[in-house]
Amino acid sequence: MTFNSENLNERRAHSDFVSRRQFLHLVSAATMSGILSSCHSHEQKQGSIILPPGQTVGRFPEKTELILLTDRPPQLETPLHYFRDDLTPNDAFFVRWHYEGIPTYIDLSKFKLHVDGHVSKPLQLSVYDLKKQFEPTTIVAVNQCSGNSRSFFEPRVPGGQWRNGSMGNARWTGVKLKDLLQHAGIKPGAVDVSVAGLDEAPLFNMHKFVKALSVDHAMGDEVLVAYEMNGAPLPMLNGFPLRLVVPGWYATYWVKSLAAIQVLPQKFQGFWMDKAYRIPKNEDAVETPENLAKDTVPINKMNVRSLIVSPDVQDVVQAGKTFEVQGIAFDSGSGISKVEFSADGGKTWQTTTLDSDKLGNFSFRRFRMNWTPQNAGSYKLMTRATSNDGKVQRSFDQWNKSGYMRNVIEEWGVNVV
Amino acid sequence: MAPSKQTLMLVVLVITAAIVLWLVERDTTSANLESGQSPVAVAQQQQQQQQQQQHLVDQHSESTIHQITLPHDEPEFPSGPGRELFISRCTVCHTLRYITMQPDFPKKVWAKEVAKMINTYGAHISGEEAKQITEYLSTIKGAAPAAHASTKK
Repeated sequence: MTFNSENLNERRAHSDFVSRRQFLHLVSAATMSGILSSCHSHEQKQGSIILPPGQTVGRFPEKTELILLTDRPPQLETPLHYFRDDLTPNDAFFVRWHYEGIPTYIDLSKFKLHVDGHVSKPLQLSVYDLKKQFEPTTIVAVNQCSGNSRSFFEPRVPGGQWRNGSMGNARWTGVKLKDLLQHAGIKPGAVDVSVAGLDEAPLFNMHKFVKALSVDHAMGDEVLVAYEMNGAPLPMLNGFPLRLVVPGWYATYWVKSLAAIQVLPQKFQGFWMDKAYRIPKNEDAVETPENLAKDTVPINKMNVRSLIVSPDVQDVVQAGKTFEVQGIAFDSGSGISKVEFSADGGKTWQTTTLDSDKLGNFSFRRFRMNWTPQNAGSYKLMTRATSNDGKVQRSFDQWNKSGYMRNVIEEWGVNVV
Repeated sequence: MAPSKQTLMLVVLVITAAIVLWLVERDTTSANLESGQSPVAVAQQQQQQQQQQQHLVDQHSESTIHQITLPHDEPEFPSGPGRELFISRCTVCHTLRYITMQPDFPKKVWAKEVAKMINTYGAHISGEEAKQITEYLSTIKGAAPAAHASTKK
């Protein structure tokens, strides 16, 4: 379904030039009114979704109401309150595609996953074959967009203006990529493994979205070709029927509607590894607008971070009463050793209580802190996570031109009444 | 040798028929629009019909088929120099919500973004067009360079 912009031109042809103020008004009115029945204004839906001010709700197939960034291609953000549960529900899980040409129709009787390239026995497997011929494996892992929290960088950077909800934590079930590669007879001398989905670039001269892992990484134990997410088939917008799961690594590698795996005897070369998703080659991916990094590498493992999820904007925190502050922490799989809490803008810190690590080291790890503010007024809450491999969140001017890998200690403003 | 009267008549007849056909076609489309149905509503009707048909297919094939229909809702933009170019070039690949979700940026940043679409992604936009699109973006979502340059430091 396409919308003919010509009609808009006709309808507005004799309106005079509008000022910027009027325009902003117009745009917000247009985005809020929801010309489509499937896009509601939040006034209709207060209570079921907690929406940041100025944001629009999008309602997409197999998804609940999410924060709408774009609809062609779809980019939908998970509202923060869903992170009060350890596992993010499938219908609330964030969505991010690069090109408008995304799969919307799959016939499982025809769909095949191709495994070929530098192998002795190329494979073409249906989803049924995967389930039948290979041992299933399950892992709980955080899937986080490289640009999660991009809108908090200062100065602001262009790109998807995500708040903290382009991430989610799910139980992924599928087969080990290692098993598939071994079954296909991966040959000695393999260097990289490229992965591609069914999504297509809009013009012939644009680059198909293809990513690559080193062969050592691909042959690791935790990388899966998943056919289930939280015990159910993946929603179409999250990659039905198959999605690569790369625990600990940013979501850009978790290729959706995975259809082609190719083993390469040389280093993979392609736009989405060589030109896009690059970070400054230093620990926190830092550069400044005046001094952009010359050395860059493909984005890879997630850095350690923690976020408060409660209290949220709608929660009332009362002076003299105990409120359980709650949040989540995660890193690239070493696990969380400690989360500290400050209610005075970082002057003093207390150690929080961590929930059990039964969901594994690639999962969200929940922390809790009983906090009793003595007086009414505004407070700046902060949390600081430390990972088992000794990495600590810091407070510093983290910035890069693409708005990637944000993990500074965030200030969480709370008004105590 | 002049064409015969009959040949001329035939040519006139064919042209008239073409015009009549075009008029009828045009009126049907605008009748749909004028009867209070927005293009979106018309498209939605078509979409619903497709969904109903698909539902029938699904029932027969015992759900080896999985299908969704994406909603789409293009935001409106104010008139101004460069607007038509902006709409026609940018919507080739993506919704204009990519613009509405951005904060205000100085012209320099918008120019870089447009250049990125051309040089990095391969958008079919000429140099002159790029200037006009940048101009329009700065009109609707522009910021003073100074405001942007002041970092936290």
